Amino acid sequence: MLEPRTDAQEDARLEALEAVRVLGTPPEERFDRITRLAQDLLQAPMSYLNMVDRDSLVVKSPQPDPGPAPRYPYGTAFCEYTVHGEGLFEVPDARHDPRFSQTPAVTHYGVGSYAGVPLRVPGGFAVGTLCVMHPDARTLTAEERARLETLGRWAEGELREHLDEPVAAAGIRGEHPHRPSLHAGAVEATALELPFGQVSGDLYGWSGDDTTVVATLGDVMGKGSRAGAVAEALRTMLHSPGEPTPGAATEPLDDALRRAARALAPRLEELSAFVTLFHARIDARTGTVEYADAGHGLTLLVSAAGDTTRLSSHDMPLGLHDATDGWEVQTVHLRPGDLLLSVTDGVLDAYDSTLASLDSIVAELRAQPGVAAFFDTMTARILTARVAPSPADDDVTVLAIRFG
Amino acid sequence: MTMQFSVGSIGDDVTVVKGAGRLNMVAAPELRAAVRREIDAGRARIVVDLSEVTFMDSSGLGALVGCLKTARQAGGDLRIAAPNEQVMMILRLSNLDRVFKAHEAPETAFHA
Repeated sequence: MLEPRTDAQEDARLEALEAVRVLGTPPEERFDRITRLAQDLLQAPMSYLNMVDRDSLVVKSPQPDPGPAPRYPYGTAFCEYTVHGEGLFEVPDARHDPRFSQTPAVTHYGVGSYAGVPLRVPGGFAVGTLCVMHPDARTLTAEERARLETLGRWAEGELREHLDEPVAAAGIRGEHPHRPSLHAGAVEATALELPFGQVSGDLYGWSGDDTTVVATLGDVMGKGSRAGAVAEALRTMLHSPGEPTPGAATEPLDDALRRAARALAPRLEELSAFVTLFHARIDARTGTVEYADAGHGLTLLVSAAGDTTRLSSHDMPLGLHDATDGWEVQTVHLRPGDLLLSVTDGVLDAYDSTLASLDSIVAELRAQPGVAAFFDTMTARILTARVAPSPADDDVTVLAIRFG
Repeated sequence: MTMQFSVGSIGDDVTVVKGAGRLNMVAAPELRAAVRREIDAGRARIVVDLSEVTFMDSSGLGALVGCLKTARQAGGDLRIAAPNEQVMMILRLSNLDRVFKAHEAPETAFHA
């Protein structure tokens, strides 16, 4: 039996638990949907999302009987092991495990097996668990373990929702997996890339300096290695990494697109492929954005003031649009705290596949303390959609450009 | 899980290719192949009946564009009928609703 911890590390963990503000609050659908999904995906009659405080386990979302959170004293629960462990904790046969065979979960509730993952907040502290229990002794498959871990990452994203600022790192774990980013002037660009197969037909790119940033998000229609090659060629053309001076930053946007479209035309023709593209040039000092949209249509200006605008155009994708007609260059202005968010259409499949998905995405973005936390939630959601009964199968790329 | 395409005709010279379910990366090559067979057989005026397509992604859109090019190269044309709201959204996002006008039914696609 584990004893409650009383050291400084435990105090810091409890402080982190306090910060997520889910103790003593009513049941919440945002947690219940995760435990319901855990039941379905892992064929488990019971799934709990728990918070672990100093001396008791607080059940935040119990399935199959959702309701007000009960509290269990320490010393009786599987989840105490999970929350103080490193990763997924599994008890394949609880009735024959001396640590658990005499606990109420087994003797009273008939639990035969358990699997749980710790839920961590920035700083690395585990403040809760997501777990599934089954009446029979059983071992999860590798795929089921991966699903539980994915759902755990989603739950972590939800827990971060009420964090005003990240809890100070205690050096236990890195805060977030590494994600590519660019800082230039007042602009911070970050990308999330989740290819479905080995090679993505999506592309993103950025280049520039402290005065001007050029950023691109695109989707080559057509999948596999040939789409990937076109994506890579286009990224290179628009962001010419080999050049000592960033040519892309000084070249007018429509010239850049015309040049790329002409160069790619034979390959797109041969593959019967086309490319939707959002291409923007941002003044890193003033926030003025010039952009062209080649049939992409999935870019949002998410303002700090609270309104959201979709940046659309009437221009068609590269490969279908007559390059001599050019692409219309439009202008918007970012104020400090505003965000440009551009996604590829694979993202929509993790929601309801309609344009209303964009509203859900913006709501999730606004609920999170920052882009990194939003990307964590998005990652979990996409990965969950890929293991759902009717799985999503498209590449997903998200580009976030924050100003100020 | 593959999408089956059925082929019919309207009058003497319009061919209707109809699929059901999800027009995605799996089904897209089959649509291309089905349309290609008709064009190779000399039937280049094609209507793709989308009334029973529940979902289309960018791969499906790519297939429609590829089929349109093939049809036009053969001196014909390709039109679409009865897309649902999700399919229309994909067309509108890419501004390809300017290329693919949505016709209410296969019968009116070439004889509006």
